[in-house]
Amino acid sequence: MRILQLNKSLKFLDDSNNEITLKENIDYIVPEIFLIKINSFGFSKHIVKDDEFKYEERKYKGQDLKRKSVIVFRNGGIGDLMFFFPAVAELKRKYKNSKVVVCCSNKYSDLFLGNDDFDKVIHLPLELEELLKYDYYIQLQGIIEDNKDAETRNAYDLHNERFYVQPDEDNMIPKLFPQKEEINKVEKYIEKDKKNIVIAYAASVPIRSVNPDLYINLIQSLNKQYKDKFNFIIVCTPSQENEAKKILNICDNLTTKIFTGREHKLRELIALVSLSNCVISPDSGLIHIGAAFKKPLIGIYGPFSSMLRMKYYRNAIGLDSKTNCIMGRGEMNCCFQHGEGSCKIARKRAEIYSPCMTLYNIEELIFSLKNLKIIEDEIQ
Amino acid sequence: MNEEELNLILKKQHLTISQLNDYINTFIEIIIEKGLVSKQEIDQRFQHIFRGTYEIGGDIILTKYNVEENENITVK
Repeated sequence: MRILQLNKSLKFLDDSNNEITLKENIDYIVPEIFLIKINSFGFSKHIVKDDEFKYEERKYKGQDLKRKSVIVFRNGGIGDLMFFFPAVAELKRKYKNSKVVVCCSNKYSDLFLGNDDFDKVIHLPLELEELLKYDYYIQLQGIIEDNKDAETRNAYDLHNERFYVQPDEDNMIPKLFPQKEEINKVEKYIEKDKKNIVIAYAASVPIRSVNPDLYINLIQSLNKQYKDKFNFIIVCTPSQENEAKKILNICDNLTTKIFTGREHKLRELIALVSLSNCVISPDSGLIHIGAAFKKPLIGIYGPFSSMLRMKYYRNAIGLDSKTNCIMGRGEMNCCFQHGEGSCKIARKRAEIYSPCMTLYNIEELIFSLKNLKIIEDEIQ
Repeated sequence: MNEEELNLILKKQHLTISQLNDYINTFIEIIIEKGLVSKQEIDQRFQHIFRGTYEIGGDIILTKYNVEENENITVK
């Protein structure tokens, strides 16, 4: 992390597509990747301060937080933020009078609504002056991306360690709190006499996504075999919407709906999942939202093992492809690439999807749905 | 490939990919012959190098996570 000051304001998109504004003459705490971006914009001449972020004395190392405050900062997606929910809940159980402030991207700050464990949510970029208002800080940047331990240890375990807590297994699942008005807005997607299966069209990057043909085959097969028993809701971002809608042209649109980020906010997605019967998703925020409601989950993984994310989830099945990929290493021979756009091997093969994510077929999904009792014997 | 041959390779200023391929193949033949690794394992792990393709195969593993039962059950 660096302390950075510019003499001219700059607005740009970070790697997670969050809009970042650095105002002039203010000290910010930023990840090193921001410097590379700023240089690539030809903006380096406007950097008037670029110091190493130290403040070691304020780093949280398990001190007593009674009547103390701590700021947690993380620039990441939905999962990255939810991984520290159990740790913060445990911290608050341990130190009832403590204050926990989180600093994250504006895009995902609604995740914390209704959650009393967090006293305040502020948006990135983090000003140094803001950080110095609190007794301690917990810096989570790179805890998964730049951490060798993240190749063998579950994300929740890594975060608990950084917070110096160890919640018991009953408290290892993040909690979300949908509001009544949010539920009212999404009830139209749910069919009460059917099993409602929420499917993530894709992960945030192609490297972790499955070919949507897998979903098309699943929907067609289940509709044929179990008529009128299932309602499929495909969740997509605005940029995926046109592609996702093609599913409607192929599948029966009476049983398939598209839930798009263009029409709905994150809070409404949370409400939708709370009403559903099952979630199917590659590694994306949807898996973790489903886990928060203890919904039956099917997680589809390739570049890294489902165990690293789903180990503590209930009633969940992780599908992993163990391949002979040249990029792989470790027990499951995974490449552990998740932030990058697409798989290097896929690019060499002139394909979009990672080879490890294309090995799946509907038999594994149907087997999992039966195991989770979403497909029940009596409806066969 | 004995130590002398290896030293000769290491003294080279440049190694073509074709030469590299030959040396690797020689090395692999020796270790298969010595029983250090099976031919099948080599084919599975390095086929993309020797065949010049990026064919990727593997198994799908299903793991059921259910902390209430306090264990992860591999169901397939």
